Amino acid sequence: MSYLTNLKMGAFIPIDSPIHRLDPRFKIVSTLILLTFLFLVGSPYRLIPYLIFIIVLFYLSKVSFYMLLKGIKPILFLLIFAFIFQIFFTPGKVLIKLGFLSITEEGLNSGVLISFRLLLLVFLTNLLTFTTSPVEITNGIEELLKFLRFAKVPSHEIAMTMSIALRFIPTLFEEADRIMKAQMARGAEFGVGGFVKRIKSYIPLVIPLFVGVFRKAEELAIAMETRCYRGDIGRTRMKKLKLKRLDYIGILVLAVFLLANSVWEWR
Amino acid sequence: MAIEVKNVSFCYGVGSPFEVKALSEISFKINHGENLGILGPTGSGKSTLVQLLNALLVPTEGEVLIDGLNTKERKNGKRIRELVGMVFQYPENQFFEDTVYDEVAFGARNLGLPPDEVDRRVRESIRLLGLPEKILRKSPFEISGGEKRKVAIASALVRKPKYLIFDEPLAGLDYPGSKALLRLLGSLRGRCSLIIVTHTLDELLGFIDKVLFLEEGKVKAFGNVLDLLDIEDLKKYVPVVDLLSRLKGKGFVFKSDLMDLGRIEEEIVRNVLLD
Amino acid sequence: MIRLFDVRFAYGDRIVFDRINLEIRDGEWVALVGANGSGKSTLAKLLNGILLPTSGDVLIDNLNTRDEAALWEIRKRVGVVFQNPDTQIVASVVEEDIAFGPENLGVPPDEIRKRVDETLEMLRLTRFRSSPTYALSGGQKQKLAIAGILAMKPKYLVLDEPTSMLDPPSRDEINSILVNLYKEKKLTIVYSTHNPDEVLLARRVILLKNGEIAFDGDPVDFFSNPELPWSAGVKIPIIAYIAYRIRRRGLNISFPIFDAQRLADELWQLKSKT
Repeated sequence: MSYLTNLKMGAFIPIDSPIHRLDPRFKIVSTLILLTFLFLVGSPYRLIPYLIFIIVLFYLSKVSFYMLLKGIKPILFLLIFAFIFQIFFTPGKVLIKLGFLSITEEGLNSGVLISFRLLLLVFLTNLLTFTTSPVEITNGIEELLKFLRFAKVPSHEIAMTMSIALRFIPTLFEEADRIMKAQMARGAEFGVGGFVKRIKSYIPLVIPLFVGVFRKAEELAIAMETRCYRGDIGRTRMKKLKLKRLDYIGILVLAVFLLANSVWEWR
Repeated sequence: MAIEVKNVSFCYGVGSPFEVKALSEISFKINHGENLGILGPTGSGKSTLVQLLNALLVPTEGEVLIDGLNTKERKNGKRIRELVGMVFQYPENQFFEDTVYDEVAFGARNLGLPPDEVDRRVRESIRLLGLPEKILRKSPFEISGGEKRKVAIASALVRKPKYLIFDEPLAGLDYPGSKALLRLLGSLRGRCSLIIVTHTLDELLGFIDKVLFLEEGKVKAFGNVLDLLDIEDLKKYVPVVDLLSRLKGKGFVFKSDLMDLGRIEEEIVRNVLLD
Repeated sequence: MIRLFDVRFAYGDRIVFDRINLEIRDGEWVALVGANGSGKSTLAKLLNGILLPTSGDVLIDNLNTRDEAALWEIRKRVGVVFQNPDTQIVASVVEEDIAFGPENLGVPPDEIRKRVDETLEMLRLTRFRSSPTYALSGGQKQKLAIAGILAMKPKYLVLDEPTSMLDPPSRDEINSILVNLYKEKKLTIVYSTHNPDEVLLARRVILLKNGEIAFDGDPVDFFSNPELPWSAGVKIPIIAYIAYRIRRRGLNISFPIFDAQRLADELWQLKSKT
């Protein structure tokens, strides 16, 4: 059923906003740049401008703040764990003693820094995936990888592999569902029993799935050859990514932000 | 002893933004011994309905009772799947064992039966499908298409279900393949109740006692073929129904228990010769 | 013109065709029938060089499928639609999938856009243009597969049991689209099928049996004696089957009859006479 696959198709939220309309190459590159800058920041206070910047971007993307917060859920445990680890296990000036454990000032500092940074990292990447469809992301990556052609990086093949994998994810979910149900109808029970037994219980799912995947791959290859596919030789594209005015504005805004921030930081 | 579907509705993705109502207020009853044909266009809810009949899915509203057992109660699940077997479309896709023997035995072993009973049942099912015993040693991946279909069906029969659901059993089969399968379905009369989801009712007319016609998740009609002669959309699926309704329009009269092509042809001839 | 010269095809020990000689002229609609395993799919794949004959030659407009240099041109001209709608779809978005073929051919972007729009229209898929491909029904996916082939502007259209995995309404829709396309675009169609009603769409039936062509002629002649299709593992249309059996019981109706109304009329006429 396609409802299952809707849920699994990544975090893309198809609405219209200036952020959605930005060129995917720009979004990918700027996400990477911002992530790099995030890791170069030394103290939690210096992260605040980034927080504000990201919140503004979220506002512009028209994605509800509920989704922003929901994105934290998966890493909440990691955040808390990292924080606790830092405050208790970083040597330095002791602030509070709890039995044999002690909280240090340095620990508190790095704890806040690391968790805060992690939080911003998640916000940033979520922003990217909320506003850019998987297809756009693969197109963007394909174009960007072209720059690595000189290093003999097979950008076209990588992009094609990614886009075909993407296309088949929902199909495979459905197939897995179908196979599971067929085996359950024969009395199979998945995920029960001791450790070894539980792993073995998935064999009636995994093997038919793999066999199916190989068969599909072969049929797909034939279909692609039938449509004259021969790699990147002489291939044109219907849609070409082109930077628009909005993208130039984005580049400017990003540059200004990073410049201003760096200047402030080194004061 | 029956399968009772009482006011069943089913929604996929309840509460999510992708909520889809696949079935609305479906009610019908099939007594053990009766065979049912389920017809309807893609998207009408047929596959959803049959999954509700063996507790693979549970109704959002209403209830499904298999010989009195409610599918909503999880503890009934195992017993219900012993009573109701299911052969999916292109069932060959479920193969995973090294030998045909193990593939067929899988269903019986899951019942917790002792090895000699499993062995007996495996050989019996193979024989019922008209397959030679030597196929048991082969890999299920290396037999012909027709043989694969038979092995898949044998692996359902080995559990001796009281009700057996078939989803498009004739899909992809040619004339000899269809004939063999139809012969098998005929031989199952008395052994178990058949519930057949299909597009091509004509060939199956001889085995079906009742027809359930679904459209957009609702029951459009339920009864025997003659009761459904006037339903426009049914004629698309069953050219024979189309013919019979045209004849009825010209004054032909058909007896109510008309069901297979042989009897239909008799009735037509009788109508022509009588006055 | 498509020509097969003494084509022999074997998978290891198993001989699929022994010696096939066949000519398909431009503009013909040929139905290819035969039991499972008779070689229908093999033949479809021989026509665009996906498979090469064990011996003998397959010539498309005098281009030989054995000639590697000619294969690309051959596949431009011979479009093939396969049975499984799902495994013919390459892209995640409908219009991108249709563009795949023309992109491979190096067609300029504006022309690709034009072709995509045209084929969307032809196959009545325009409103799905930006839809994700996984969300389409079986019938819609197969229409998409056909659109993707048509966007390459082939001369020959080979269909290998294209509707066997679809329900009757989807089947009818696709067949009526193909009939219209055949008339408008003057394509040459090779349509392999089990479905006798689809066989009746063609002007010429070729029956494959025991590795050779056992019948080559008019569809009506093909069904006139049911023993012929049955012996080859092919069903006859259900109405014709009923007509055949009624006739065997001694009632004087004409044969073959494929249309329900006509059969009903003849039966009523007989009834009024008695």
